[in-house]
Amino acid sequence: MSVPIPELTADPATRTEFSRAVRRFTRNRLAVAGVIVVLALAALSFLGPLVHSTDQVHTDLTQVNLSPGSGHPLGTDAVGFDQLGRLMLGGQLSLMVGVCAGILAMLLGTVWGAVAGYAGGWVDTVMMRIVDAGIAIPALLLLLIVSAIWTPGTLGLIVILGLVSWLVPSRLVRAETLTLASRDYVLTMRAMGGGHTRAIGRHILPNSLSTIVVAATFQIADAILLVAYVSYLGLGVQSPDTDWGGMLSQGLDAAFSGRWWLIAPPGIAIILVVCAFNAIGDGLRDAFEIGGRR
Amino acid sequence: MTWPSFLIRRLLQALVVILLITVVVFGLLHSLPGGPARGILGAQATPDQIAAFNAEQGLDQPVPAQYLAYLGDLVTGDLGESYTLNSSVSGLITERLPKTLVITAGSGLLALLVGIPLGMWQAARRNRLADQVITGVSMIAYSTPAFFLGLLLIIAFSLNLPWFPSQAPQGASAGAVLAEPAGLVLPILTGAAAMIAVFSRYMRGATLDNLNQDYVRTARAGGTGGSRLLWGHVLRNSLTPVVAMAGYYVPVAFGGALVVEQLFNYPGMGLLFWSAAQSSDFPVLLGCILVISVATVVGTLLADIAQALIDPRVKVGQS
Amino acid sequence: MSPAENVLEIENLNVVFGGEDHEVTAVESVSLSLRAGEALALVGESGSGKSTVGFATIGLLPGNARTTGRIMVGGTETTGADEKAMRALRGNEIGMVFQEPATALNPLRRVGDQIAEVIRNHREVTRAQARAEAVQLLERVGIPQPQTRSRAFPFQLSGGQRQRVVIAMAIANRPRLLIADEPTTALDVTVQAEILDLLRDLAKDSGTGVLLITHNMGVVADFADTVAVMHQGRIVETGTVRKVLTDPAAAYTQKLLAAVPRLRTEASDEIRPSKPETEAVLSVEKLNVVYGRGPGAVHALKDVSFTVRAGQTLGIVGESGSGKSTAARVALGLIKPRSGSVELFGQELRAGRGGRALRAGIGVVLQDPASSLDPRMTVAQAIAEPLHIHRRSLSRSDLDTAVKEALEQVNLAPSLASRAPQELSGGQRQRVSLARALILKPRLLIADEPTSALDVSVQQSVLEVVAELQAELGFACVFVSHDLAVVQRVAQQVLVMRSGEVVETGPTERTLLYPETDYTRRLLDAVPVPDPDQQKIRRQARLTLAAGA
Repeated sequence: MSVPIPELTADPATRTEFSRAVRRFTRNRLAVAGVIVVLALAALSFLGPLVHSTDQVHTDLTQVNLSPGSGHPLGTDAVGFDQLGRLMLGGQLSLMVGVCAGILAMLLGTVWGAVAGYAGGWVDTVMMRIVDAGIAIPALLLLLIVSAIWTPGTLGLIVILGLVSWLVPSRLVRAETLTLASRDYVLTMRAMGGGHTRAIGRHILPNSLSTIVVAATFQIADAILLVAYVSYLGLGVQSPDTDWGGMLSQGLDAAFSGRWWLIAPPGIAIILVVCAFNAIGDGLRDAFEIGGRR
Repeated sequence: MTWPSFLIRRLLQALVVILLITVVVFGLLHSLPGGPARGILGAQATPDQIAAFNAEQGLDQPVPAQYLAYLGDLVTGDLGESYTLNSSVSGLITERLPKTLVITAGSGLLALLVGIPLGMWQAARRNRLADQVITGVSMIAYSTPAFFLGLLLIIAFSLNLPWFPSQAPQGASAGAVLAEPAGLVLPILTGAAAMIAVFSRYMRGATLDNLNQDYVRTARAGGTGGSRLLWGHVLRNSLTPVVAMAGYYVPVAFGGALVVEQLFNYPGMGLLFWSAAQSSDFPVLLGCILVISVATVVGTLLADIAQALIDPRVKVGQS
Repeated sequence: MSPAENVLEIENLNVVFGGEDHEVTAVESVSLSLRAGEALALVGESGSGKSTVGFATIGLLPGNARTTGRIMVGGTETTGADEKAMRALRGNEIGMVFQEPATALNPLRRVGDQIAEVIRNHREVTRAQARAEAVQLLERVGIPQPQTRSRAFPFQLSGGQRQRVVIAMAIANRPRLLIADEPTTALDVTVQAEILDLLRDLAKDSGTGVLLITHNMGVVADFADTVAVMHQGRIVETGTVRKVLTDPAAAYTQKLLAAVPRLRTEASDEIRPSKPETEAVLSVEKLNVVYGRGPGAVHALKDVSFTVRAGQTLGIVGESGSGKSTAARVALGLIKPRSGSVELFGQELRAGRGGRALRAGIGVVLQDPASSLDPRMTVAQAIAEPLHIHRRSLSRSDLDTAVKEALEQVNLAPSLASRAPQELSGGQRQRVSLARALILKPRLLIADEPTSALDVSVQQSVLEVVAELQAELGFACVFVSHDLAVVQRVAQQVLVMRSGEVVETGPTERTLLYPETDYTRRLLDAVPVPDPDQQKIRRQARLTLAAGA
């Protein structure tokens, strides 16, 4: 089994390091399985509707709560939507929002953390106290308030999830920046007349890239979970749109009446994809030989 | 640094953070579109009605003035009156907070008590079958949304095997709730599962790191080995990062309480907060967030102190 | 046991490490023997396998190591012994002292308890008895106020004191064999001398055999009775210390000894022409650096002034915490002084754009070869970085030519240009740093311990390159080092520092031969020279002086 290795135009230095990392990653069976799971679920969600086309806009009250069978491989839900089609639709939103929000959080956290760590002094103190304050407010509570007042669309959901999730990554990047900024090669460059832009752009960010990528992978896993929680608390996207968390919470009552097909597929999908991103993160971290754990 | 000055410094830092929290929360609530009046009076409210409501609640004042007034009340313990529940916010919170603490503290303690030994045990058996199985189970536990896990627990241990009730105790006080321990089992388990996964995983990593440290080599060169090495040397050193980590999990535990209370219909702060969000009951939202954040800051402070107790270097800032 | 009996006997030892892709042979056919009461020095450069022999002896090799051959400690075979049997030997028959006192002790346990644990591992004594014995041991290894100090945590002790605690643990049960793996490498010379004295006395008192693992020929001359020289996993020469150090047979030993910088104690015959007074390139006036505030504040520099002139090298020497690196970093503008001035090429050094142009005239080489180059840049990119900063208009081909020339200057093949730093050896990396420092033809080179992490033979070649280039290009140089022999070799002027203050300064020829202060004298006396006879005299003189003081 092989994972496509991207075409490289980088320097030989990064190339050897990169290819070593790729080799280590591909040897990690759990991580490779993670990649396959993510690709498979993405294919199901985004390409699946081309094969299994269903109406996910109009309810069909003649076809409610059908158990899995011909025509509806995973049965139908309480308002007659085809459950497999619904799983695909929900997957689109869960994956897209999770991935985008995770990356957005990482971007915000990287900028904030890098500036605080590099600037040091009182700037660092003020910026990190703000992060402390933010971390003390549970994200779910903030989301509950925001969503109660404003019903977000997909983009809005990405933005607010990103806005409540950047704090922990910012701490990580700050710590990394502090370490890198005191490396001899940065000091040498500064002493020989190099500026801050060069220090951050050429040395600190490239060298923290692997840490950032790994953290982003874990952020995505967490963001996908957070989407599910938001939907559970009744603040997700409006029907007929849905996501896996929304399907799961709508199916909760059905579970007691034995309609397992309403909760098992989205539940398993969430667990699978979150596990997969965590496994990929673990694999990347080992491949890049980054210390620390999570 | 001596203990008193260490504690004073940490307390001052905590106060600054709490003050910042009040600014963030207050600013956030008042900058959102719609505002409280539209939330309470509904979308059909006329501008006159809104203006009257705002004047009555002091919402027509400039935001900084409202904030200062709020802070002034805060110092005297007055968190305002609920818009909808006909009760003081502090009264509501005093009634609900202890019950939520039962869940969060219960889950947190359970997670620490299970996660830490489990992680060490795994590290001692690293990469053997038992370690790999537990690592896999932990990953699944971490990846399962708490409400789904709770549902599975209810189906398994309440419906199929009638061991525990599916609904949490409904008692009015923490004491009354604690009098029905069977009802607390599933909610606490649900809240603790993901944290057990995180702590055991972190502890496993910290233990493995420590086993590679020079001091372990020195101890072994002195003839120390086996369990004495693990419990006498490695445990305490591995605990420091895990305790720091536990501090970060205080807000996560409170967030989890929101979900757990909803699922098990447990009348704590989480349910109060949820219904206040539904009805845009700003004083209640603000009060809840403030209290929970303060609880979080206190939790982090306790984690800091625990760290300083474990590691004498923390106090002098040498760690 | 008769005193002549061997406490350690190694026969045909081989150690192979299994790696990710391939196996590495670390030790090959090594045979050694050590008699009770004697000291055997195992010498070699990094990667020679000397430490592996020590760890194999005490059974602490990592899990991926495969050992064959035979190791006997006091008549007990340790090869093939199981963990339980080894545990009974460690800390009991065999004690070990490690290189890094900073990390060798459990940071969270009181030092007395750590010593007591070793006692209780092997003897049936009560906790209280073990603690009392730990206090006696602390006294024996020369820790003042042992009762109080036994309650201290490691971070509350100095590096030298921590090493004494590790020694106390190693000798707690009067072992037959003491393995000391680079026991003084991380310590200052004066502390090194004290620790070696301590180990010598302890071994003499108890008849313990000492296996000393070191790279430092001076330490060997000071301490050992017999020497085994290791190179690439094999022993190339064994013999008495006098024979090996003064009349080496193996070509490798000869090369190694030739590369060791020797502290001259008499004026050299070669008369150096006194150079005309050249212009001042760097001059700092009354620098003060203070970290922190209030009673806990640390005065890192106190009124430090010095001047470096074109074509000259100023050596800054001192022990750890003396402020020598801080002084260099202030001169580089990396640390802002609280007061005082730094004048570079006749202009005040300031932050911002103006200061930046001035910095084109400075070259910098810092200590750690592992972090002196950005792991994500090729050698060529690293060397070209100063050009990117100061000569932005250079064309691609001009850049390539400049990099090629710079590599040739430091005697590196141009083909290294496309390599990653990770693929280079420590010495090659420091030469790349040097090439980067010199590519703008600076008027001032500031080098902070540039060779202290390198093996002596590599150090020699790097120092030679610096000297050649200085003669050719005529730059001024600030050379910070803890190694007096190296400074004596490269510097014309020297500045001796202690606790942030300048102790004395003057021409190297005068200050390092006929010092004016007791402190410099003590520093010089503590340096071990790689000649056993001479070192014995020096040691006696030092001990007499210390006893008199």
